[in-house]
Amino acid sequence: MGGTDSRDAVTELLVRWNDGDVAARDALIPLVYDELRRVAKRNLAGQRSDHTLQATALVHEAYMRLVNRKAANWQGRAHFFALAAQMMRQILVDHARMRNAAKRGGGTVTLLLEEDSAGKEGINLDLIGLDRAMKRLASLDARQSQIVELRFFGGLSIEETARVVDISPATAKREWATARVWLHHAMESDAEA
Amino acid sequence: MTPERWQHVKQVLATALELAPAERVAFLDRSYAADASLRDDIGPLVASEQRLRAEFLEQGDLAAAAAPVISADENFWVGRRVGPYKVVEQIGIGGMGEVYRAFRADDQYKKVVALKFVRAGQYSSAVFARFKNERQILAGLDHPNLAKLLDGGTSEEGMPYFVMELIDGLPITEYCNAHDLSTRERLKLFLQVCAGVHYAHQRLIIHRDIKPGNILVTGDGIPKLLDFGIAKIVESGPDADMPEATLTSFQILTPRYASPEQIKGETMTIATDVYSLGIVLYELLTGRSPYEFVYGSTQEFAQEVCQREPPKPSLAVLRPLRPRTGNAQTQSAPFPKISPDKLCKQLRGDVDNIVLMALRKEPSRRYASVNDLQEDIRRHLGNIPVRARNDSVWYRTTKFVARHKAVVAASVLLVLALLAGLIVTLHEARVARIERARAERRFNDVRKLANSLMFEVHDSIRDLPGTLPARKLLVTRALEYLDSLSQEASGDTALQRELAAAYDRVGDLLGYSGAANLGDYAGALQSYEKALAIREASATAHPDDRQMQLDLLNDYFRLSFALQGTGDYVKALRHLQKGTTLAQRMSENHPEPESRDFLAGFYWQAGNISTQTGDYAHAVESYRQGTSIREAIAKDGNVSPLVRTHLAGDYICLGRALAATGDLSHASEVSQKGKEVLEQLARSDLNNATLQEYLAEAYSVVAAIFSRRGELEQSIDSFIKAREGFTKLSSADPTNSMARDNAALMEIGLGDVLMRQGKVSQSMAQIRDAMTTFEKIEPKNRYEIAGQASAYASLGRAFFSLAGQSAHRSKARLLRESQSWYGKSLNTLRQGPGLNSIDPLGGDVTEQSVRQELSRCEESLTKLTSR
Repeated sequence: MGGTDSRDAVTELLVRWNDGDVAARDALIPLVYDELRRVAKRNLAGQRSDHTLQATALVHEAYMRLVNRKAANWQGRAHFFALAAQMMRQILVDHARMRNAAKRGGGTVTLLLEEDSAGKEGINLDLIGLDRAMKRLASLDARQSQIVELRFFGGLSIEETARVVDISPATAKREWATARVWLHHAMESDAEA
Repeated sequence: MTPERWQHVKQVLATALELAPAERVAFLDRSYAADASLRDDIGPLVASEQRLRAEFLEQGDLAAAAAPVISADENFWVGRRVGPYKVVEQIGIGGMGEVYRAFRADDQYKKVVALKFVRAGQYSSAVFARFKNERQILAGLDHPNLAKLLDGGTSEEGMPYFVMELIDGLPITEYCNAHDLSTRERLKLFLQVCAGVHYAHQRLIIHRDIKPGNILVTGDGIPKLLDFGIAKIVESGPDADMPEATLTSFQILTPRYASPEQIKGETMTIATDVYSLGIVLYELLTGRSPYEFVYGSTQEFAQEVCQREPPKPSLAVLRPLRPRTGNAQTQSAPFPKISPDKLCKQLRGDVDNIVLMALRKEPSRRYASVNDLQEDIRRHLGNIPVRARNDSVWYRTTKFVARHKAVVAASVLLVLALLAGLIVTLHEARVARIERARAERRFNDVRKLANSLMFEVHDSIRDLPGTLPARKLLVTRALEYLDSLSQEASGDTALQRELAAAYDRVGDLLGYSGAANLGDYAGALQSYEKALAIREASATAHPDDRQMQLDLLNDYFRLSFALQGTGDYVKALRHLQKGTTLAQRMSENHPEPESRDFLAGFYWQAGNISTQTGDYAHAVESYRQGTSIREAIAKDGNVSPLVRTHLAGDYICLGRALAATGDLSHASEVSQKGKEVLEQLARSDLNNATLQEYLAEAYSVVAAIFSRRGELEQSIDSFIKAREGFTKLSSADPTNSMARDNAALMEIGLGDVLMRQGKVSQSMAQIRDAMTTFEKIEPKNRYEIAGQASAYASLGRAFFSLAGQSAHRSKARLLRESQSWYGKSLNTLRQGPGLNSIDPLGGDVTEQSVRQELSRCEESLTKLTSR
């Protein structure tokens, strides 16, 4: 419920994870996952036509609700954002899969463009395709894939992303730019295949 | 491409991307010249970059991609199979749920049902908890006017759902208009709705969202109440269990049907449903909302609901219908065939009263139950006078306070209003999940105020005559608040202590026979027992906390006192013994005045019980022990008025017991002492009703002892003083039953003395007055029963005495009169539980004594007639 107790618990898990306790990270996942989903659902409900879903807002809100800011240090915050971005990706991609499955009777056909929403919503990104491409990118360059995850699913700025991955903002910017092009190309080829 | 290769390609690509188009081409050509294989690796990427949308993987993109995925997909369930059901179409969507028409796919009859899910986009643990709550509530309900739960489960996707009977019908208002029902027919239909709600109430379920849209009438004309989505089980406490949402959040309520307490975020009870039913009835009968003349924001509307009295239905129908804007609801005008004037006549009087009683602002002034509302409608339909006119106790209490003590009322109501406001912010703080510190501060504010009500405000008016109802209101309200707080902080010892103290206060007001009270001894007992349970637990947990032990002593004392009042001496003695043991141990360890005063109090109380059981020798002994302890405390100097008051009480009671053993000279001596102490105390504190009451009682004892000693003039003098004292107290505070009873008892005593002086007619007048008093109050407790019996016996005695003085002719008639009064006295006494004497001095009415007098009377009668 985001009360002080659960907040302290999350903060403590972050600190432990920071100290190298992997079990702490595993314990965090469901908490962060639930909170993000809750925040995302709430922010999207009732704004069907005029939505402005800001991943930044989501992750930051989840952070405020889950973490006791006084007790968590920057490292904790970075960890949290990384985890949150990962969770966001999982949530959105899972939903997209479920929806597609429902629509196409369990088939696995994916399209770059969602034909039914393209008209009214503009061009929509194929989240499943993106996810697949990101996985391939990760096998080439895991850090780049993570940068995309943080920027896109976590809504972090270049500067924030740089701090989380611990590189200079200039490097982060270059990594982001090339990853973006690589992914775009990968998704195009995927769709044609 | 290998990862190593990509590192190289990436560097080149990054540089290329940073260049303007013309430079980029040149740069790439140079790069391809150096490494031909780069063309294959970078060429397609650069080409793809040309087609890349500016917002690709930027913020807006996530929104666009996520929205269709997450946002509510209305058709998600349609066409799917959920458990054994096939979903056909959506038929409704509410605040937290969505409802679909579905049929059982495995059923050859294809039974059509309604399937309810949590509304998409509303998934949160609180909403799921509510959903589960609704399912649980529905499972316990089975009534023809309530939508029935058929089944429930969890879908493959993990969504909980439940299945209800599908009600194909119109909202009740539309149904009535579509079928052009008459006022009478509408009332009959409404009665069925009441039956459903009452049924739910009997199962401790409050619906909290009754409105026409939730009452559908089937084609067979049967109204069914649906949507228990925000219903609540009463037992689960004042909303402590329902986190955020729903309680004060205004969006979930339908403001048009919300009650003032719902708007203010106060505790909701069945009265809340009574109110909403009132609104529905108002709309059914007038075609208008009671507040539809209010224009303005939701907030202004809410304010009107809390403050403004709605117009009488009979007058509302005379107003032109307000056109509804943008409302698709079929607002066919109600009663098209009947003129407003005629409608007005149908509604004027009874119906106005019934509807407005249901709509009263204060929950306690509405119908106490839906059953009462139903009953009144039935009475109206059957042309029997309705009860709606009568004002409730609360209302009278408020009026009483207003009449008698403007200042008191102002401060009490002010503080209550303040409290209500704080409670609202407390809820809001929780709803908004504002930081805990703020919620805690509010919590403490409420607690402080409740305590201030309970103790400071209460104590400042305690000894003013006539403030009993105000005090009761104050204390019970404060108790409600504390009670609700304690459920949020069950481990808080200090709070538990406050709660126990609050229960004591309520007990005192209801029936602490040592002071002005409302005469509800059973209620008082319950309250004291609750306090005792809390205190025993606390005292066991904190054996070194002296204050807790003292509080515990206090509870033993009050309980034994209250039990004595109901005649349950066995239980009273049990508490007395516990208290005596504890007080003895405490005063041995650490002889401070408080525990010694309690110890003396227990002896005094033991004396009282011995007196009640007729064991006067024992009573004298106990009283003496108590008296000597208190005399010792008083000797230490610096003695508090309270201890002096107690000491006076010891003297008076000792005097009375001594008189009963026949030691009249000592009796007279000590009771005079007691009287003098009280006279002094009362002089220094003229407005102190408690002292006035003790003083009046002292006079009565002194009067009785004078009477026993044959000093009749002094006796009459004291009886008159006593009677005046009690009468004054009783007229200052009509609810002080004890003062009223005692005033009547003094008249009996006076009558008896007058009789002995031979002033028979004067005597009879006094006694008849007393008798009328008792007959009017329909005696409930043993004091009142004994008082009435005493009055009858005195009349018997008076007639017997008259017979003795009169001529032979009327003698038989007078004796028969006497005989019948004695008989009445005996009959009355037999109603009382194990009743002995109430007063070892004056009345002396016991079954035995009355029987003796009766047989003496009958003997004379036999002699007379046998002659």
